[in-house]
This record gives sequence, structure tokens and C-alpha cells, in this order.
Amino acid sequence: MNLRKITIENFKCLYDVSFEPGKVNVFIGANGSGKSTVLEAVGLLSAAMTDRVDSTSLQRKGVRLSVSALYKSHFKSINRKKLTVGLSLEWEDGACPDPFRYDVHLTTPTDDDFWKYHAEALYQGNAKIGGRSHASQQQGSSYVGFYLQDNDPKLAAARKIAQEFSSYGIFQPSTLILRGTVPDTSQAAPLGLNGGRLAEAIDSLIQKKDGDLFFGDLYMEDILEMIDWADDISVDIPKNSYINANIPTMRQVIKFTDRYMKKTAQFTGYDASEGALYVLFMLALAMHPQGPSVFAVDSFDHALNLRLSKKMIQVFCEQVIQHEKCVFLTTHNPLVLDGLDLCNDDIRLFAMDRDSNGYAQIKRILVSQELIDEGQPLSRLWINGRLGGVLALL
Amino acid sequence: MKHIGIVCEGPTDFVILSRVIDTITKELNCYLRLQPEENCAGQYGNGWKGVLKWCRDHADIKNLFMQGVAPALDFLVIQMDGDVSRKDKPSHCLCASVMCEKKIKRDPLNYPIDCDTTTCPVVLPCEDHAPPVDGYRTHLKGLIAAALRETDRTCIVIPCDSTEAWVIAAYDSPANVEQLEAPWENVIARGKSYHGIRIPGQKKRARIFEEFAPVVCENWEKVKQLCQSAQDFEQSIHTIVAAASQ
Repeated sequence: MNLRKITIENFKCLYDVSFEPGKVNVFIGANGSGKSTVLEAVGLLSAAMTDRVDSTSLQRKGVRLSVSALYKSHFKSINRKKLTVGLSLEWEDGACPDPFRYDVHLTTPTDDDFWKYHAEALYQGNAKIGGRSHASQQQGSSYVGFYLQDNDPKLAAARKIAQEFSSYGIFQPSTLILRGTVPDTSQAAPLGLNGGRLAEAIDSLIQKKDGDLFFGDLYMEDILEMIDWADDISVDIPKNSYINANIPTMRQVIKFTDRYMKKTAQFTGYDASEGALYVLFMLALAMHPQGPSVFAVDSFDHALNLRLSKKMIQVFCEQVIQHEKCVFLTTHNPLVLDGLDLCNDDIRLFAMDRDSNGYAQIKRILVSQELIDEGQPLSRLWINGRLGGVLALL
Repeated sequence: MKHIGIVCEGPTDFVILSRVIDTITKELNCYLRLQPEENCAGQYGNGWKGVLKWCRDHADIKNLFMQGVAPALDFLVIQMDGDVSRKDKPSHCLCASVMCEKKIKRDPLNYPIDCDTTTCPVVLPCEDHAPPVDGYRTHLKGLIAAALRETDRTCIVIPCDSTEAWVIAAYDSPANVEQLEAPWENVIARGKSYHGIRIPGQKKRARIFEEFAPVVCENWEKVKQLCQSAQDFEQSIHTIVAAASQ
């Protein structure tokens, strides 16, 4: 499955934008430029397409809940407000010659919690193969998505996207949850949106093959190159010998050995560097077979040293592509850009800026061979303002 | 304790060089791994072209770069493996014997973007730098020195065929170890382990070299006997340290 195009209309600062995603999609932009809103719009689209849209389904995907009126664009320049929030997804499935498109128009909740389906349409090529409009006679519940209601076997090929898209979530790990001392309220499997269940996820990824220790598909040594102070990483039940008895813990804990210390000086994620936990979390997301196929990470570079950010994004991109996943990321760290191989069309960089009306604009950054030959790193181009996606501060 | 900046081809070289310098100076020094900026395609951040690019990019400001941040750098170490001269045609673009019409215009760092590798007039081994190992060292030292323009408080080290030759010299002590081509592929990573140190996936990793480093340091006298590049390196470090302490 390849996502080809996402269109968003009348959702917060995204009044009318579209972009063509690859497998790894990195969004840069000033604070308040709308990066996180793009991730939320994809969450809204996922909920609308594969479920229903209400506070529960949005929260499950990590979308911030707003006052109903604020979901729609409220720009000063708009004289006549649109009634609905519009979303569209185009994708292709390797087994079908024609691409699919799903369009949905939603009205925001009024006096209850539920978003209402104003219209939905499903196309294959140019042919409409399903959907309903506000005026349809047989439209079923207007609070439940068409995908959940129409079991027509002819739609089976188009329905495959729902399996992959339904588990979409916006991950934003929190250090305390990664450390295992605070429970994650978003209890998703295999990983919570805020970093819950990391130990369990890691436990299922660590395995020994032919005398070598692996973390998913990677040699453990490759992980330890990034967490360079660690000599060993494993998962165990909490014991007083490596975690203070007064610290609340989960059923399983991540256990580290520091290579500069004696082997007996083991400790858990509670005492470890938070950067190590973020690395493990991101890689588990990218590699875990039960993990989401399509997902987002807000502030990818959080807590990572500059060179680690660059290395991490390189490894992360490889794993996402290898596992045929699709990810949307935001970052403020220029070094993350230097780890992106923009010559690979699966990896795409988007800069976000607001126009004079305040509408968020999404612009894909492509780099010419001539500029590559000039030897300019992406980080410098971004810092110097050449890519956009910066505040107009001097 | 000295503050030393190291510009090298990769992280494994950094591990060996820093430990060996500690052995030579008989003290624990403070090291900075200096790295060139990559271009948009992620090129020239490491490898010999990265090293050469760093030298060029910093030629004008080298002294200021070393002194302008506290703590200042006492000296620089620039490393490039000798195999570059053996197998990389662009490192010979500017050699006297090379008859190439693009010679003035083209930049070896952009090779092969500007050039067709099949019709490139560079012939290896380059006749300007025979015999092999000494020639490689002289040539690459010249290339780096030309890029830097001046080499004050700078030690240029060219392990031949690569830093791995020092590791093999320390462990196995074969004769003519510097003439052994591709020592990583042909010796160290041939099996699943080398002298009991596992080489998962035959991949070079800094962590593996951290296990090699103490053996290289313990056997440094032997490494010097077998590797002219090691002997040159020690001499160069002594000279710079002596000059710095005057």
C-alpha cells in the first residue's frame, strides 16, 4: 500500500492544503506553523475512515480535543465559513491497477460528542464504487463511517487500507512513562502513545540467533553504537538489586549495564539516560511487527544529542522502509535533516509556513543535483532560511 | 593532558588513534572528533573525501578554529588510510603524470560526478608514487598538506593499508603487514570472530575496535616495528608535543 495524496480542508490552520507523502515524511516549520495539526488531520482522517469520529476515537489516536467550534478554520479573511471539515486520501494497492480515493466531509459536534458524516465517497480510478451523501435515502447511521457499515465484498480491495490505517496514532513519548514509573493512559498495544509498555515491546524484539543477539532485524551491537555507554540491554522483572524499592514500577523493566562499570552494577530505565529510552522507543515503533503500519511522531528528536539525532533518523528511515510502514514526523533539529537521504523518493521533507492570511502551506523540499554538488548540508540550508520553515526572527 | 582534535575517516579510526596517542604521550588526553558537514545527499561527512573536505573548509581558519574556543586545541591529527592512494583514482586527479583535459577544472571531491570512470586517464598504481606503501603515504600526506596549506601543530597519519593493519600487527605480527590489501575484509572479518572478539555481521563497529585498542597499545612497540606508518605517527606526535611544551 502506498499513500499518494492527502488533502485537508477547513481543519484548524489547514484551510486548503494537500501533499504527496512517501514512506518517511518529515515536517519542519516554525512553532505554530501547523506541523502537529497535519499529524492530527491524518488522525481525524484515520478515525473517519476506519471507525467513527468522537472524543474517544480521536484521543485514542493522540489528537488533541478542542472546543467544537475551533476544529474548523476561523481565519479573519474567511467571510463565508465552510460547513464541513473535508479530508481526502488517495492510495494505491499493488494488486489493483487503479488508485483508490476516499473523500469525507464531516460536521463538527454540536450539542453532543459525535462528528457527523456529511458525505463520503470512495473511488477506484475515476469510478465511484461506494459512499453516501447527506441527501442519500439509505445512508445508515450518519455517526458511523461508511467503511464500518458497508460489507459489500466488491469493496474488499479498497477496504485493505482500513486495516493498515486504523491503528494510526500520534506518538509523543514522555520521559516519566518511558522510565516506567508512570502509567500510560493511552494503553495501545504494543506501545502506548506516550511510551507505555516499552519494556514488553523490547522484550519481544530481543532475540538470540546463531550466537548473536538481535534487536528486531538489527544486531544488538548496532543499537549499542547509538547508546554508546551501554554494554547490555535486557528486560527483566523488577528486583530490589537494581531498582529502589520505593520507586513504582511496571511488571517488566528495561535493564542496562554500563560498560564503564562493573557487570554487577545493573540499573533500569528509571536511572538510564532518557536519550537511550527514546532511541529504543523509536526503533520499537519502526520494527515491531504488531506496531502500527501508519503512525506519527511529534518532536522526533526530543532528548537526542545532535549526532545521535542524525544517526537515529538514518536507522529509523531504513527500518520504516524495510518494514513497509509509513510515518509522519515533526522535528526542530537541523541535524535530523542531515540524516535524510532525499535522493530516495520514499523519504520526503516538507516545510510548513503560514501565508499572509495565516493559512498553513505545505511545501515539499526537493534538492537538485547541482545543489548537492555545491556541498551544502540541509541543516545549513534550513538555518539560513533557504528551505523555509523558520520564524522571521533575525 | 592535551586537547586534541582528530579528523579521521570513521569512528573506528578515532578509537585506535585516540588510545594510541594516550600510549605515546603516557597520559589520558581529551579528544574531539571533528567532522565535516555533509552535503544534501549525505556525502563527505566521513571517508577520505570527508577528511579532505574538512581540511579545505578549515584551511583559512585553522588556527582560529583551534584557538578561538576554550579550551583551545593543542594540536590536530588528520588521518587518511593508505588504501585511498591504492584504489581511489580521484586521489590522483592532480598528479603530474596524469594527462587529463579536465585536470584544471575538475575537483577530485566531485569525482565521479564530472568524470566517466571507464575513460578516466588515471592509471593505478599511479607512477608518481612508487614504491607502493611509502608512495601512498607521501602522496596522501601531500594531498592533505596542500588542502590545509600549512601544517603547523598538525600531525598527518596515513596507516597502510588502513588502521586495521595496526590491529593485525598487534595480534598476528605478520611480515609486510602494511602491504596486505583490505585487512578488514581479508583478515579480521573473514570469520565470525577475530582472536575471540565477535564480529557480528562482519560489520566494522567502534565497539569492536575498543576491544582491539588495548591490544594495539600493549603491543605498540611491535606495531611500530612492523608498520612504518605507526613509527612515523609516534615521531610526529613527539615532535608536536615537544614543540607545544616549549
